[in-house]
Amino acid sequence: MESTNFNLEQSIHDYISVISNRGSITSADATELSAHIFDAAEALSRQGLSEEEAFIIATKRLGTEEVLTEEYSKVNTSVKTNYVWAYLMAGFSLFYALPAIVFSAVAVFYFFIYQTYQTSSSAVFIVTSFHILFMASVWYLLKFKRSVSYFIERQIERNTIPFLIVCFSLLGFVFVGKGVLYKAFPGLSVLYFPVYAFDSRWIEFTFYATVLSLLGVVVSLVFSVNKLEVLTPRTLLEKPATLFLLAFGLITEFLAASTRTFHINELLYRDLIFGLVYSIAAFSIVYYNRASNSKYLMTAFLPVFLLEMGGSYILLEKGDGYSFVSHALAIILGIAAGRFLAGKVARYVASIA
Amino acid sequence: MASSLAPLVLLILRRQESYGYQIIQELKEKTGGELQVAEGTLYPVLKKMEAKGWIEGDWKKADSGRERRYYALTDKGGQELDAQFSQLNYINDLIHKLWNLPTSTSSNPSTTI
Repeated sequence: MESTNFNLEQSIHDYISVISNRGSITSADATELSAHIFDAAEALSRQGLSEEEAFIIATKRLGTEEVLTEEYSKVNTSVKTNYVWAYLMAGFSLFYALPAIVFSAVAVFYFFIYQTYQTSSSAVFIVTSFHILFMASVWYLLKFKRSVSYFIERQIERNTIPFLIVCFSLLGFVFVGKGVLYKAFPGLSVLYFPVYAFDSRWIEFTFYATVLSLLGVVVSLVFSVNKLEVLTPRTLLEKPATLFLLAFGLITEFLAASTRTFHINELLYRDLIFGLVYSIAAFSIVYYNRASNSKYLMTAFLPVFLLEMGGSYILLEKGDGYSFVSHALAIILGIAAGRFLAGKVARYVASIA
Repeated sequence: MASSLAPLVLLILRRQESYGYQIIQELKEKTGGELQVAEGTLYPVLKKMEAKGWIEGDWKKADSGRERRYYALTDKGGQELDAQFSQLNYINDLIHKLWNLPTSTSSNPSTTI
C-alpha cells in the first residue's frame, strides 16, 4: 500500500479540483474542504496510517463528489449569482483602468526618451529593448492567468466591498490622472505620435509586434476559458477551435505586414522576411498537431492569404505582376517550410524523449 | 439529516469558537461514533447558518500555515439556540406523553395506519 511518490498536497488539490469543476463550490469552500482533508489525514497518520491511506479514508469520510455538490448547491446558487454583479463591476474598472495606466505610463516614457535622446541610436536601442521586454512580459504573465483569477475570486468572495472600492478608486485615479497628465504634457498624444517621431524601423516594427502581442494575449485568454489545464502553448494550439485559428491567421498576417516597416527595397529579402513570419506561425500549429494539420493550416491561413492577395492586387502598380507572384510564393513556401520543419523537430523531440 | 445538525452545531459553538473539522470530531465523540453523516455536508450547513446570522466565520492561520475558518456563536445565534432548545424540549415532552398513552385495545393499530 505504501506508495513512495504519493503527494498529499497534490492529491488533495486534485480531489478538490474535481469538486470545484462542478461549479457549485466557491474558492473559499474549496479552501475550507482542503483544510478539512488535511486535518483528517493528519489525525489518521498519527494513528499509524500511511499518507495515502489516510488520504483515502479522509476523502471517503468527507463524502462523495455528488453529495457535496448537491448540498453546496442548495446554499451557493444564490451566493454565486449575486457575485456576478461584483465581477462585472470589478471587471469593468480593471479592464478600463489598468490598460489606461499602463499606456499612459508608456506614453510618458516615450516622451522622456524622445526629449532626452531624440532620434539617436540610443533612443532606438532603449525603445526597441523596451518593446521586446514588454512583449516578453505580457506573454510570461499569461502563465499566471490562474493565479490572477484565483486572487480575484478570493477577493470578491471574502472582501467584496473593499475590493470593489479599490477597483473604483483605480478608475477614479485614471479619470483624475488623465486630466493632470495632459496638462503637464500638452504635446503628449498617447502611443501614436512618439512611434513615428522616433523615425526608426526597429521601433516601429517592435511597436506593432507589441500591440499584436497584446491582441494575441486577449485572444489566448478568450480561447482558454474552457480549458481546465494550465495555459501553455500546447493547451492553446493543440486541436484549436476554428475561430481561434481565424484569429491566429489574422494576427500572423498583421505581424507579417508589419515587417514592411523595414522598407526593404530588395524584393527577395522583403518576401523572405514576410514568408518567415508565416513559417513560424505554421510551425507552431503543426508542431502541436502532428495529425490533421492541413485542415488547421487551411483554416488559419487561407482566408488571410486571400486577403493579402486581394490587397496586393488592388495596390498593384501596373506591370508589377512579378512581385505579386513572388509574394504569393513567399507565403506558400513559408507555410510549407514551417510545416516541414515542425514535422522534423517533433519527430526529433519524440525520439530523444 | 444535514439540517438537524444546526442545533447541535449551535450547542457546540456555545462553549467556544471552533472550525469544521473540530466540530465534526466533537459531534462524533459525543455520539460515541454513531453519527453517520458525510463530514463535508457540515460545511454547507455552517454556511447557511452564517447567512442567517447565527454564527460568524473568520479565517485564521493555523500553526501549519494553512487557513482554517473559525466559527463563533453570535447573539442572534444564542437566541436561536434558546428558541430551538425549548422547541425541541417541548416536542420531546409531547412525544413522551403520547408514547406513554395506553395503546388502544379495540383493534390492531399497526394495520389501521
